[in-house]
Amino acid sequence: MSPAPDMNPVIDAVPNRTLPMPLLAGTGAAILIGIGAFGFAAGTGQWEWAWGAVLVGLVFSLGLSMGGVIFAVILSLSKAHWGRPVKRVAEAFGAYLPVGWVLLLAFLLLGNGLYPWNPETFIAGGAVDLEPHSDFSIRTKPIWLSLPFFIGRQLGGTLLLFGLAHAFIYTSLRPDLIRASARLGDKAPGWWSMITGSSTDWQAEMAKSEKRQQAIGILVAVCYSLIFSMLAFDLIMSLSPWWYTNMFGAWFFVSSVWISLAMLTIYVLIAKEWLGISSFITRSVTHDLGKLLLAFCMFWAYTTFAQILPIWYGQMPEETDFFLVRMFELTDTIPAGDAPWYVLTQIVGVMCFLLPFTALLSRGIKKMKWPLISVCTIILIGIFLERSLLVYGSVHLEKSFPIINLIVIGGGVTIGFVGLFLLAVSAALAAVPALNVADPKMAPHPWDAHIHSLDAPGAH
Amino acid sequence: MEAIRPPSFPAANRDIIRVLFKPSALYLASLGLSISLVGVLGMALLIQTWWGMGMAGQNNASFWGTYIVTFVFWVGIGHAGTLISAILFLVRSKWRTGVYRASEAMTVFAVMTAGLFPVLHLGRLWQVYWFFPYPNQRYLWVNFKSPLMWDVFAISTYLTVSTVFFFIGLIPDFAIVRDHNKGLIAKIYNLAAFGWRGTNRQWHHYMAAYGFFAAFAAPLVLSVHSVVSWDFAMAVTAGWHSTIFPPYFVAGAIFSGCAMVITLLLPMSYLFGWKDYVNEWHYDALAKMCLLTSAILTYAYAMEYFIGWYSQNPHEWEIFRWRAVGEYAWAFWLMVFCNCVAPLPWYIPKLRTNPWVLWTIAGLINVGMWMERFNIVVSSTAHSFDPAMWRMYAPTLLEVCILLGSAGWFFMWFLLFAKTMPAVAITEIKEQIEPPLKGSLEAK
Repeated sequence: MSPAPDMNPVIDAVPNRTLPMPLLAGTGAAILIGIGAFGFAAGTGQWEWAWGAVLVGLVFSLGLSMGGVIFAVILSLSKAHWGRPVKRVAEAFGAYLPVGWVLLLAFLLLGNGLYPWNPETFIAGGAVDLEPHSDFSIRTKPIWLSLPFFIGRQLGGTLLLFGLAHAFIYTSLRPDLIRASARLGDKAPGWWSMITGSSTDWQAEMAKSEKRQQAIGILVAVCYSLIFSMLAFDLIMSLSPWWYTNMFGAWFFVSSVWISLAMLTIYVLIAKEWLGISSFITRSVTHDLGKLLLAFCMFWAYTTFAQILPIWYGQMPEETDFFLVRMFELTDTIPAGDAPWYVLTQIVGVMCFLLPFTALLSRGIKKMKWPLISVCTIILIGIFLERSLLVYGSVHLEKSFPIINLIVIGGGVTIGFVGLFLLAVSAALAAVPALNVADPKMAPHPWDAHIHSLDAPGAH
Repeated sequence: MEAIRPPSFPAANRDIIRVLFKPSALYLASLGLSISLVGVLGMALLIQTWWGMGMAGQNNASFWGTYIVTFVFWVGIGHAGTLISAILFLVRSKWRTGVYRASEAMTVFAVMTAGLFPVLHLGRLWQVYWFFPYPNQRYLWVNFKSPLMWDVFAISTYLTVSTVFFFIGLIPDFAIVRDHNKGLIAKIYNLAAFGWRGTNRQWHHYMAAYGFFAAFAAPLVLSVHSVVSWDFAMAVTAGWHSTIFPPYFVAGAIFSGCAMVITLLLPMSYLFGWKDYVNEWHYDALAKMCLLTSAILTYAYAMEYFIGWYSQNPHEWEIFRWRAVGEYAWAFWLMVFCNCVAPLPWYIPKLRTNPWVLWTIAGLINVGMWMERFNIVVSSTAHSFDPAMWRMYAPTLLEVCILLGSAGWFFMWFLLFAKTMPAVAITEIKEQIEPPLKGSLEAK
């Protein structure tokens, strides 16, 4: 095993760390933009846009948050060394989960009229695609598509998942706080003792923690796949109640991990100085993150193609309608309008696959700060547009491409959610060591030594 | 858990090469049995060709039967090799070293075995060249819109790339075998090693080619079984028309492939005395890979049932209901037991390294994965849309002979491989042990 890196500077930086003013101003402004965008949509009576945007923001931000925890779980289960320098930041993404849960509760109680199967839907005429299949679908699913059961299972499922995610984070954090408390003494924040208890032997605690992280991690991973599939089926797919595809859940939860990795890459590259972890975020770490982003990009394209191909080939109306509305200019077929979503579909294809795939093939881009941040931003915007396409395509048939509403309302509300997410994550990171300081796997694996040596001065 | 524990460079050469060429009685008996089974396969094929396809159990409803079940099974087995050799190479996973050579060989032979079945199912063997597009004066082309044709291209590409990758990896090891032999054997291995001398220049080109082929082969791991899954998913047949099939088939293929690696390597490493090269570390990793893919399969089974119910499509739901409670329920529950329940003991770390537990569970997985394909292929066709067309299917003795014969064909090639090629990668093993230092005993 390579020698353990010196963690004391990382620990010593904690008591003096406060949220920087630009971050507070930026996230505050983002939250205000989100509230303003929702207020604008509600004030002008565009309730489908207002709650549709909240739904997009919710599934996007919950994916960001839970995806980070899942990445930390994967690192833990696979005993990987390479990603340990970003594990704490990934865990901190879970700080948004309680906030997200409250927002989900608000959406489910106040915005459930977005669903066309709800008898009290606020979509004019019931739903754009009620005919010919939806009536049958709603009639034959009286229990599954009933409001109390719908709301109950979303809230219960997410409560269980988020609870397990926090148990995982607690288990990972505890030995680090014990070690940091031992070093900081009186300077350690008082609330740490709620987590550390009276324990002082951080090495013994770490040994226990590793085993517990493995056990809880398996539960988190299993619950994540099931509950995020349920969220995908219920929150998004049931907007078109007749439509079904059994890959939808996996498609959604895998792309959530992808956007989380993109956000993680941006966050560590920008905030590494503030967090005091610059020497750990080496070029080999960003190179590996870039490779993982490329793998997820290809997997997204693979699952998207694999989902569309059998539906296109099968030519069954109850399956193809969903794609027809989103992929073609159907001037003659749909009387309500031109179904302009195909424009957005093309943009999504470019932003989620063509651009990131082409860029991430380059080794140089994966190692350079700003080019990699740019690619990650494209991925985030691409998946935001993909989620928008899924949601708005089911509740709107615009006569022309609704670019203003998409940017002002859709974009504005999601910016608000992202602002809230960043604030929660940064507040969490300001209060704890930004690395897993007690984790022996912070030392590079001997087999990776030659890779890490590439970061030595003059190696390039 | 320790990684690889060979004592030294010379020991690595000696231990791996010493098992070549000299067959034991057990080896000869195993080879004889395999060749006998190939003979059974040949006889069955002759009978079917002479008397016609009526000798097999297919009927108007179940038109594919065990031939396609077994075809998909062997293609699946052929998946783990490329995953272990290419993808694990790209992600710098070191545990692949001890097991990848045998896995690659398994891949090549499994795909060769799978390739028998479309031919067997053809009936008129002499028209097998109709599978391939070739210019002809009648302007007849294969149906490019058919997923079955996509399969021909996907599998032939996979076989080609896997075989090339397999032989590239063998080049430095062939040279070691050459250097340990004399006469005709040395000449043959020199030819196979392309005159390898191990110069800096050769290593430079070799490593570049190896990395390139690894990157080239990696997407094939996803594509081949995805295309195989589309043989079913493109049809609007209930129980087949499913978007989750591609990743579900790929996960299933890796699952069965890793289980087959355990099935083959465990007795082999004990018989050859290779505990220093293939040990608990590798079995632990393979078992974990099986656990992960078993979880993915369980998720896919659950999603199929959930969406079958959620769709409220009466045909879709009926086939899933019938699979669980109908005449083939035994096959369904055997599949669920072997693929979802049987691997669960591996969550206990000790059981991932116990040879008996490993071999038993891996065997159950092999059975379960054959049953999964039986469930998909047979039940959907036997119980399709029109009740007047419902026909039960059972394989005839001839089909059972062909199934056993295919196993004999696979094991025959694998056994021949084990005695003619280094089944553990000698050069890569050496990368993981301390080099002999100047003046040390081993260096002398």
